[in-house]
Amino acid sequence: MLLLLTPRIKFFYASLNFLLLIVYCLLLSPAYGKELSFEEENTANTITAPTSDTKKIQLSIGILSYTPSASLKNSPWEETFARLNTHKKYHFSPIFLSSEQLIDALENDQLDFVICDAISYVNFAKQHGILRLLTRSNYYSEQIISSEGLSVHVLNNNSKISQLNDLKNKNIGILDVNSSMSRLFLEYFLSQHDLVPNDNIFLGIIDNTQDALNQLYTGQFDALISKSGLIYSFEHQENGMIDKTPESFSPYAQKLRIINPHQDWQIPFLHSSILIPEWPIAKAWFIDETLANDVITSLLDNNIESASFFSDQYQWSIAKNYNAVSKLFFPDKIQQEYNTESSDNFSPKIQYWLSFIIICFLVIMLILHLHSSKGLNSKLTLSKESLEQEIKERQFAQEQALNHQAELAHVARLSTMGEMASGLAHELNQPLSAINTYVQGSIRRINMGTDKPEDLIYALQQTAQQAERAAGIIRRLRSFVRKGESHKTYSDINHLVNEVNHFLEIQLKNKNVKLILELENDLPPILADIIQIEQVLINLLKNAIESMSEIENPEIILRTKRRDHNLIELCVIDSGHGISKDKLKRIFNPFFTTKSSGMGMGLSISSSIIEAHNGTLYAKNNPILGAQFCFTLPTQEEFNQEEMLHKQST
Amino acid sequence: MSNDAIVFVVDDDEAVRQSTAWLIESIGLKVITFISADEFLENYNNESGCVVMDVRMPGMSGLEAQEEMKSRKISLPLIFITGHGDVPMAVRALKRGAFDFIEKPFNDQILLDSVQRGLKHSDEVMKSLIKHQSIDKRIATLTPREKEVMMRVTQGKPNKVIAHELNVSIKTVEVHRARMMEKMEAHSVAELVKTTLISGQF
Repeated sequence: MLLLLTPRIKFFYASLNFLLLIVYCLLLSPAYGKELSFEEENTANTITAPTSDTKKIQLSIGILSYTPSASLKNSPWEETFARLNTHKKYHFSPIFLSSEQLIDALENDQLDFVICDAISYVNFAKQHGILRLLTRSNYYSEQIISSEGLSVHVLNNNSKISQLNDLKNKNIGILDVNSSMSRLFLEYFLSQHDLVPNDNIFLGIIDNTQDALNQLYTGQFDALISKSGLIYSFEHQENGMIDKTPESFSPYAQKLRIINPHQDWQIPFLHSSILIPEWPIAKAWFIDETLANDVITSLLDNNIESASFFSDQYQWSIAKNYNAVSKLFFPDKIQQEYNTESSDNFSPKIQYWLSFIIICFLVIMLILHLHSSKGLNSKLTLSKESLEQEIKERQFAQEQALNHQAELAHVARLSTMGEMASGLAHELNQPLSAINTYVQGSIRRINMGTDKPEDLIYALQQTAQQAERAAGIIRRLRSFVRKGESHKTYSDINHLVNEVNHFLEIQLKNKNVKLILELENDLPPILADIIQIEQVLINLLKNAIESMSEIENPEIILRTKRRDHNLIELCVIDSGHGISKDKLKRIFNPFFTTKSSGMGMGLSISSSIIEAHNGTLYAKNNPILGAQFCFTLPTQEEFNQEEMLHKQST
Repeated sequence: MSNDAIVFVVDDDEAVRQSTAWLIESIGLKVITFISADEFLENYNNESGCVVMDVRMPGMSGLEAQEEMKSRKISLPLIFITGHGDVPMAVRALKRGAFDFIEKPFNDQILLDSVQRGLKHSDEVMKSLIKHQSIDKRIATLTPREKEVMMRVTQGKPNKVIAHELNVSIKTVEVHRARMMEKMEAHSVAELVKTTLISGQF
């Protein structure tokens, strides 16, 4: 999702920048007008820019100062302005302003550049759109130090103050030379430890290091707070020990110690507070990039060797990132600082809007998703219904296929019956003629008066028996050509063989075929549609008989036996010519026949019947003479197991 | 018709065999049943009578049995009964000398008539056979000269011609002729001719 969104965010960011650009352009003209009108009344204002070089364009740099009578001369700013004023077109003048004055001047766009502490800067950046160019720094052993920290010093023998909370209700000296310490940072630092000036802590501000140290030694102050490294540098300046490493340093000849000491890679001094970036020089929003570049180049042109140690003059290094300060001091507010160093991070406002838009987008997506899922749901229901319909149709089709198979089998049986009609007619003829003969004989005897009751009873008994026999034949015939779906019953395969044997007796007799039964005793019952299996067997026997029409002493072996533990095999083995290899592959295909009158459906249907009974029908040639057709059927035992499993599963 | 004539019923189907036998017995005829043609041929011992036989039987079929009877010179009239007789089969059977061809289920009268005719035929055949045998006996008593004379007499030749042909005197021919007529039990030349015709030897 976010990956997909990334281009959109970029686009959004770009368009937002564009919008802001338009807003700036709209604001620009009245702002200049304001500036011009302000310059007209400038004479009445206390702020007056020094005009040393009238040919150059005058630019004012507001410098935050805590002492009202600050001046450029003998201040650490001297070098800075000396460098700036090497510019050909512009002349830079410092204006030392208190915090309030600075805000006023910024509101009236009277300042071109601002130098102030980090906390004020982030505030002004937010309020007035100023943008930092460089960060004030100092050098220590060729290391650039552009971070500001506070150190709380106490005398070594002062056992009362061991942590910052112990500063409560104490007199604290604040050593601030040349207004270089951020007072807002001091306030923040004290407030972090519940120290409120003039309430539970008493502050005295001193701008001379030696005085401050003296007052500490004499006990006028319980502790002394200064910018980290200030006392250390003072000591070094005093002693001229330049190459002493900070690690071996003990503040003021081991008389002082630092409360809550921290070490950080950014500065080589122990410090009690967190570190914030040093003061930046920032340009006002209306200063163009070229001028800003000129300022940067002139100020960055440092001679490191000349300032290898804490110099009196401020140096400048590349601008630090003030985001941390923003977050620290204005955590809840929308920051307007534009970070040029890390363009990957959006300003909080953009982030806010972005997240808002992303949330909106997500909500819309969610709604869309819900909507589409609703649609999907209905689609799913539809497809489920159609699936159910299809399943029903398929089941119906399967039933149809089964019915068709049964119908086909039925048709095949009818056709078999047709082919066997004369044999069956003869079979039926036998009892009929016997009945006929008995009845006529009886009438004759009665007419002739030669009737003896026992003779007539014998004849009638025989007649009844033969009528029964005829009915049996008809029954078998009818059940064989019976229509309708198959129903399976448990039956003995050998019994089935004998039934079929009856059926085909005439045919066998006519063709003089010798049928040899090799039936295995005690075979387990099979679950089968008896009529259909009989049909298969009759079909196989008929084929066998027909295949041996030109053979002397035709012989068929009908063999049943158990194969494996759950299969019964029935084989019809003839003594004919066998089946040629190419025919052997095709004999089970529908409409394949070798007979002049055949339909070619017999074996195909037989095969499908056996398959419907979970068995297999196959043919092969005998090693010496003739061919054999065998089929296997699962025994009842296996069916029982299957039923058991089925019951268990249901 | 002799009383010891027997009707032989040969059919593999028990019901048909028994019912047929029962029917034939109802007109007071003696019946012996056989389950197959082979059994009949094995047990037949020159009794007179007729045979009622199924055409289709396992083992030897009816038609095969007919051939076998011919070759064994059993001249019993053969009545075929068949459940699915067709015309070609009937023609073949009758050409080979079957007495009758009846389809099952048969009308009792037709079968019984056929059986009775068969028995009568058998009886006649038996009688002619006996006659035949007596003529043969008579012929056997003749001397060669008498046989020569008889042959020429039946050809209608006068004694003078016979004497000439046999190169004997007329007197001798007359003696031979008288003896021959006596032996042949013939009272006239016409009777002699009839007897010799029956014997078929001349």
